[in-house]
Amino acid sequence: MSERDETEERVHYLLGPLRAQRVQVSDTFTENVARRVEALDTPSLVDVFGGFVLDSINAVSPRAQEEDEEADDD
Amino acid sequence: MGRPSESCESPAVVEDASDRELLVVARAGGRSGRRAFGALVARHQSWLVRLLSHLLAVPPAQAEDYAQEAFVRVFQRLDALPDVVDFRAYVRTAATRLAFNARRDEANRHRILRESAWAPDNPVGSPEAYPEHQALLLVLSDLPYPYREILILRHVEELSLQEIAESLDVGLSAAKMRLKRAREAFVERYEARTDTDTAASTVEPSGRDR
Repeated sequence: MSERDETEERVHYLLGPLRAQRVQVSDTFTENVARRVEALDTPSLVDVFGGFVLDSINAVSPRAQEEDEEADDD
Repeated sequence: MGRPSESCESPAVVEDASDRELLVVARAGGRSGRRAFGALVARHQSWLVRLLSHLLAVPPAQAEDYAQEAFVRVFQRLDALPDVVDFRAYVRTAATRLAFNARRDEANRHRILRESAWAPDNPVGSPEAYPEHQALLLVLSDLPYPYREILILRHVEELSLQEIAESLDVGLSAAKMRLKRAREAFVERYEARTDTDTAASTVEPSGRDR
């Protein structure tokens, strides 16, 4: 067996426990994927609140409007 | 998308359906489509979590988040999938790309491994073998990511060199060279950590050169 083959066999042997490993996935895994997929179709909270905040900023408050009118009068 | 016990029509239909058949239903969209995709997720989640756990050197519970993200990305591209796509290979490629980008977020992986004293959920061998297993995980996590990635794809997932080259989007000769260097680096570091000569280990029959 060449040195190269020997190294390959050693690595394969050493990593054997990882090949044999069986992972127990949480019961909610598929459900969580479903939630993420559903969220793709739903506006995120950031979108919703971001829009709300932008609207609030753009809206002119009565107090600011009054002050603007007073400044115009001056 | 439905739970694993649900199906596009009935549980029996899902159990009997091939990946390709489920994929056809999933691509059609609607409620049945999401249920079919859910069945694919249930079918492929375990190996995907294991793969991402190894690639990112994190416990399986932490790898679940990345695995879910990989499935979501595949779902987003369902319409663009070729009709003859191998679903498992496609998910694997999506996951390796996700892991490649996410690996920088895993700067604390050594701390996680040590502090959680993580062992596989179903460790192989006796409890006495645990320190060696831990050493194995730490050596892998110490390797440069491209080396760890190719070792896992070849020696854990047991992909052919051609499959690895396609998955990593590199040439066959580049994959061969990277694999050779990765093996050498792994053995060198493993021996340094365990202070043992791994050449004394038993050798399994191969048959991997596809």
